[in-house]
Parts: sequence; structure tokens; C-alpha cells
Amino acid sequence: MSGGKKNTGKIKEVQLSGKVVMKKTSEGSKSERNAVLLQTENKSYILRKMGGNPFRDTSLEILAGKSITATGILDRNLFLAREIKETYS
Amino acid sequence: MYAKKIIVSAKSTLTLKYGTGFSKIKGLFQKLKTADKKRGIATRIVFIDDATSAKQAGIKPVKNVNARECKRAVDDLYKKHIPDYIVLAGSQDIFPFQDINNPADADGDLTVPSDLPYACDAPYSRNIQSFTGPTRVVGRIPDVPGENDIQYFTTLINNIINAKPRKEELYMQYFGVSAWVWRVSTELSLQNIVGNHNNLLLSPGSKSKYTATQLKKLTHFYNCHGAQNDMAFYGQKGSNYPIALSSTQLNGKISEGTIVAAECCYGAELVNPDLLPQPGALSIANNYLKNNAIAFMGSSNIAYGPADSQGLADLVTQYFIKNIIGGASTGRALLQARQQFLSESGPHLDPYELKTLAQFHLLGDPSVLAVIDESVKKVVSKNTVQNTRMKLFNKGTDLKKSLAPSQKEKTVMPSAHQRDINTLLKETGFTTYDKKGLYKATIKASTQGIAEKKLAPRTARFRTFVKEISTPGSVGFDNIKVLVVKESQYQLLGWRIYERR
Repeated sequence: MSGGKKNTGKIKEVQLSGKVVMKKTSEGSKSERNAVLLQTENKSYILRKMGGNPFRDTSLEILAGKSITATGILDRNLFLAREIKETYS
Repeated sequence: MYAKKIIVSAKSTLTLKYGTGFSKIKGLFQKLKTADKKRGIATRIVFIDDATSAKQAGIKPVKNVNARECKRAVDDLYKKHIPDYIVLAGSQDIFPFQDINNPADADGDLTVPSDLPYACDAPYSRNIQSFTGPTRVVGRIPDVPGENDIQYFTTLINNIINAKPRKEELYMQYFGVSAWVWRVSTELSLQNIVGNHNNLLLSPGSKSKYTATQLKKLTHFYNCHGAQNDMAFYGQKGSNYPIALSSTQLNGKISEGTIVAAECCYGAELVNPDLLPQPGALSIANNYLKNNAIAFMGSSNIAYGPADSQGLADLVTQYFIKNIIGGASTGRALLQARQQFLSESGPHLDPYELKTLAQFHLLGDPSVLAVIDESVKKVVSKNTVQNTRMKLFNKGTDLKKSLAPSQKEKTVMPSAHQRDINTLLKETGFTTYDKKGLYKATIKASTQGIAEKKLAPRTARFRTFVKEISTPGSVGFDNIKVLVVKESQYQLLGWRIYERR
């Protein structure tokens, strides 16, 4: 770390609530796939844990079908979650 | 005769970020200008939004530092001064990338952040079709996005000032890492660059805790996976995606003068450290430069190449390294790489070739010479910078005239060769259910005879089939494979399979 530097483009954390879904696309074809998304009331985002492996994260897989509230950073269609809590209705 | 270089930046964005530190930044540019003079380069510093600076440079100042205005200012500067090198100073929050509409939009990237338009004479546009004739030598000296770290900028400028060309053989020793699944393609790339692939490291397969001896090599080459807002590259074997390189592994271990080419998706993305998981960490590209690398060439977003052969990212990265080793400045190495890539890929350019062209950029001062040009030493030949630029300008202009960049058709009409396509889909494991696209590319030319029409069809169509794969055990990962089929009115002309890097 160099002295005196400041973050000038501080990115605000947001809290999102929604359901974790493994969305199937191209159903019925060989290209059917699962993507882990956080489906909020308005929009779906690709869900990744901050510091998690973007290509394989089994700790996200077990959340599929569950409702969560997550705090993290939103950048375009990617939601980088710092903290994830399961919510129960 | 002096070579001419222009350092282009913006006072308002620098002041917003660095406050009173702006004068220090200005001082750094001045220091570089003084050092440039000693190596035969006449450098001009232009803050395009500062009325006095712009007037002195003979251009109209920009009112807003946005992509359109910055492109106009760089074009005006180029026409006025015909510089041999253009340096864009600062990351995207100082001097913006040009956002190109993604020609291969099935992959989810809406745009391609690009420095290519700054290297082309065509006026501002978001269409890649305008930028198939690069003629200018351009590079970007980045700072850290979102952070006003003057020490970072100082390190980079000092490294540029202290850069000295070294013997060619030093750059023939390399540190190369490939995802296991792409080892065949990477072996071919290294074979083409340095004539062997003996030292290629695989991920998984090799120890990912690299030794100081491995990392101190002057040429670094990566063919791995990469991800948005991340500080690592990843290997792959089946459903195993281990970390092949973490940014922090570079700290204190990179030699001065190191050159890097990364085929990885997001390999040269400049990331606000707030988006990274480790406090104090930087993206790989930013950190390589902080640790004394002199040039980093990579992609701004999702990149492609075949698994077992050569194409797209493989080509543009290997040309870049080869050109540097051949004695080109880092900026000329990129311009030539772009032109070689276009010559090799044309005359009809498919959407993935167009995306590759747009997405790879140079981070570093484009006037830096890494390798001693031995031919000059031996008094075998001598080309002035001006002569080299004239040739490259003509080459770029010719490419623009002769190439046919594809454009997406609104509807995917059935092919006249559907039976052949069905056979091909079956052979390659794709299906008609995969996401389809149709693109048309037409060469502008005079009337053709019958034989010419058949041998060199003016119009070609590209059909794309995009397969998004979920590897068992993998979550949230769009592993993308694309089949691109080229056809003329008369027959299928060829096909290729690309994979997301």
C-alpha cells in the first residue's frame, strides 16, 4: 500500500433480496445449462461471492431454491455478494 | 529527425481524482517528456479539456470528457501533428475507452471497451465495422481506477523512463501458463513465438506456486480463463477450475522490462480495487505494471479462441509478442499485430474476429523498445520511424478498403445448404436448438466474372451456433462454445469452433 491514496470512486454496497435460481436455458437442447442467478423482484443478476471462484462455487449451489438477502456490490449484471443470509418466510 | 509522441489526458478528470495532486501528475508527464527527448522522441503533453493546452496543440478543447469528444480530440491531434506514438494517460475514469457495440452479442457482453478507435482514422462510431483499418500506434498508461494513487503512476512513469532495450535471447525465455484443456493451442502459440513449448506450465498440472526464477523471465504468456472484476486467472480440466495465477503472486517477483500477453477473458480489465476481494490488491494487469512490467496486452472482456488449433486471441497475442521480440516498439507491435490479424482473418470477417480486433489493447507506453534491433547494430538495414509509420498507414488504409466486416442480419433465414449444415452440426456436437445468428459480409469491389464470383465470392454469410455449457459441478459459469459456419451462394466455405477464454 502506498501512502496517502484514497478511493475516489468508492462503490456503494447494496442489499438485494430474492430467490437463488439455477436457471435452465435452451431447454430440450444439448446446450441446456444452469446458471446461478439472484432473481429479485425487478431483475435477475449473476450471483458470485466476493472472492469466490467464478467458475465453481459449491457454497452457492446449495442455496438454489432458497430466498436470500445479500449485501454486496452490483456491477452491470454481476452481483458480488460479501454477505449472504437465508431468509425464511 | 525526432520521432513524435503525444501524451493525451484530461485535466478535469485528473483534478477530480487527484485534487491538488494534479500538478504532480503533470510533473510526471513533464519528466517523461524530458527523458523522451534524450532518446530522440519529441513529446507533447495535451490536456484536451484545458483551453490553453488544447489551443497550444492547435485543437478545439473538449467540453465533456466522454468517448465521443475524446475520439474527436485524438483525431484532431493526429491530423494536426501526425504523431508516431499516441499515449492515452489514465484509466477509464480519466480517459474513457470507446464502447463498441459487441458484434458477438450472444455472449452477454453488451459492449466492448476498446482503444482500437483511437488507432483508426474513421470518426467516432460504436460500430466495429468502422474500425477495420488501424493505422496509428496507441497505448494507454493506466492508473488505478477509482484510486488516486500517485505513487502508482510514479512507478509506471519511472519504469518507462528507465526502460532499456535488451538482447533478443532474453525475451526468448518465457513464463507460459495454459489451462490444461487448451494446452495444444498454447503449445502451438509458443512454438510460433519462441520455437519451443518446453517450459509451458499447465493448470491444473503444474505447481501454481511459481518460483522467483520462473516469474523473472521477461516474456509472460497466458492462455487461461479469466472473469469480470477478478484478480486471478484460472485453469481447467473437466469441472476443475483451479487458480492458475493470483495477482498477489506477482508482488516483488517481476523483472524490469517484462512483457505480457494474456488471452484470458477480462485479462486486461482495469478494475476498481473496491470490487476485488482482497484489501490492497490490484487486478492482474494493474499489478504487473506496478511490479515493473513494461507492457501488458490483453482483453477487456470475454475473449475467444479454439481449443486445439489457432485463431482469434491466439493470433493477436502471439503476433504482439513476436513483433516485440523482432525489435518493434510495444505500440508498433500492437498495430502490426492488429494488421496481421486482419490480413490473416480476412477478407470476410466474422463477428468473433471483429470482437477480438476491438477488445485487445496495450497497457504501457507504446514508444518503449524492449528488444535491441540487431539489424541496426550490424548496419544491415535502417528504417526511420517515419518510414515504418508510412508503411503501416498504407497497410491500414488498404485493409480498410479490402476487408468486409460482417453485420448481423435481423432474421436468421434458412441456408441454401441446410443439409450440409445439419451434417456438420451432428459431427461437431451442436444442434439447431443452439442460439443461432446470421451475419453478412460483402466486399466492395468492381464487377466480377463468373470464375471470380465462384473463387472469390464478394458476399459471404456467417452462421453462428452458440452453445452455453454447464460442466457438471460448475455453477454460474457460462462456458461458451461457438460454431461459426461460412457459406457463399454456392457452397459451405468452412467452419471453426471457438471457446470462451
